[in-house]
Amino acid sequence: MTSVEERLTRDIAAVTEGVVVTETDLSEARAALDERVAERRRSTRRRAMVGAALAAVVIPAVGIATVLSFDEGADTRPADTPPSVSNPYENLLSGRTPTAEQVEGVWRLDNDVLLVRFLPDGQVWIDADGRLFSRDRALAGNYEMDGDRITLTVGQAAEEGCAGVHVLRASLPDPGVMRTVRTSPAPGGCSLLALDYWALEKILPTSPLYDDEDWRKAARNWPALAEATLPGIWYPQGGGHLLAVSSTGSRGGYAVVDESGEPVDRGQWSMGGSPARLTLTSDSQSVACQQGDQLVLTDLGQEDFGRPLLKGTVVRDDCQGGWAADTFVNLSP
Amino acid sequence: MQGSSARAGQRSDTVAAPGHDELVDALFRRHYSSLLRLAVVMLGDREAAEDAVQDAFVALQRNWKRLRDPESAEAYLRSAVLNRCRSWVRRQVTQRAARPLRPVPDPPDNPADTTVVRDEVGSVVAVMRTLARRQRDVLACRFVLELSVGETARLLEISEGSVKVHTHRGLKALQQRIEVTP
Repeated sequence: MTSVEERLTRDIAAVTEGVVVTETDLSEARAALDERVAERRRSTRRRAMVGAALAAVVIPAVGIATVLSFDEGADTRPADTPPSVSNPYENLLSGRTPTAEQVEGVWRLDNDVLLVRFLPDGQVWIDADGRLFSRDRALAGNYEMDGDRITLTVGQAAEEGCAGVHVLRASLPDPGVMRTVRTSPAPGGCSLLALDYWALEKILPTSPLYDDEDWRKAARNWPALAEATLPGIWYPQGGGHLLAVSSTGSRGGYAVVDESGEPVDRGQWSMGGSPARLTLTSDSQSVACQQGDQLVLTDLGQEDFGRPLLKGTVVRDDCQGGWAADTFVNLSP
Repeated sequence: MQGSSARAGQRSDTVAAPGHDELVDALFRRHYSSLLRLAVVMLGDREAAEDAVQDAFVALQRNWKRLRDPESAEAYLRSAVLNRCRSWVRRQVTQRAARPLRPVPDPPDNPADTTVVRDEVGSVVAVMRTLARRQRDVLACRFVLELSVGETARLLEISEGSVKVHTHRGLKALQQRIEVTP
């Protein structure tokens, strides 16, 4: 066993030894479980009765006996799925129907860390762990548009339950904003697609939402940047690009994508020194930069106003690619 | 004689098979503590861990008839707890995104919050929670549940090769993060 395995084993034991479960705890937990199950059954009966009433109003021909014919304690879905009712979020679909060109790009989910990329070739990528531009992104599939309907066909997904076909209706209420409402059944066990409604903000190509946002004013104290904060996807102040940082300790790979969402620079990053210095060194896979070109930020600081912020002073920019900002905000960990 | 049980003549020498509720009760008493410890390691928060384990048992109740056999209930519960821990972690991350990229001061920490496992300064477990999801799950199976490679593969529905890869990467990432943490 290696030393890190020994430490992990020891520290796990320290945590688990502190988890004491007395007989009273067990009895109380068992009683709480019974109450939750009972409440769930009561709730299911109430929903079934409401569903029956709606079916009788909306489609008189549907027999309510079918809706109510299920056994308590068994799978509580009715034997025949009742007709779909209007999604309560559909009244948020205001504005214009998006075109394919308007949908293409990288979007962030409002108040979330989920990112979605609609590619020009019909691919769709979704991720919430800062790996949208990595091969191990959480979800990849294809999308097709038909009027205001976007049909996602998911093949590769890290989460169970995400594979399959999902249908959204979409609208563009304001510049840089897209709203979608899911019209297909919610996929069980797929947290990435669990929400009925998305308010998406366009990140690339840069939209007017944040292109003039000044995050430097967000805080006065900027404690030293912690390396653990660095991996993820970062939006440079002023927009135009995204910086995707992967982690392998104190150094790792990075990629810079441009307005099209395609990588223009790749390389290795490293951090160290006092004052702290972040160095991005382009490698042979870089498109816009020469191998060995460096972008260096010093006097690194971080803040968190809800999302992590990173600031520094640009002291070297060999490539002059246009992404050398002195402030970045994290979009996805 | 008045009041004698109408079922006296039907009493059998064989023990009746346990009913559904009795089986769940037995599973609860046998596995609750270990599942709770798993969830506390994954989440660092006892209250959230208790919720995750309760949810897993509720799901078991709901899906009982879909289980291949009662023996698979333990694996079902472990998988359900890991899934719920994963969802909780993701909700925590999204809740920290308080506004749409507009600077808003963070609310102060609540010192009265006693559900958080606080004595973890320097603990590798705390670092483990920052790993990628799959690495976190594999290390939890191997080091908390002490499952073999094969058992881990079956529980997480991945190949044994993937288990080994994620174990190796997870431990390597832990090593590197421990080294850089001041």
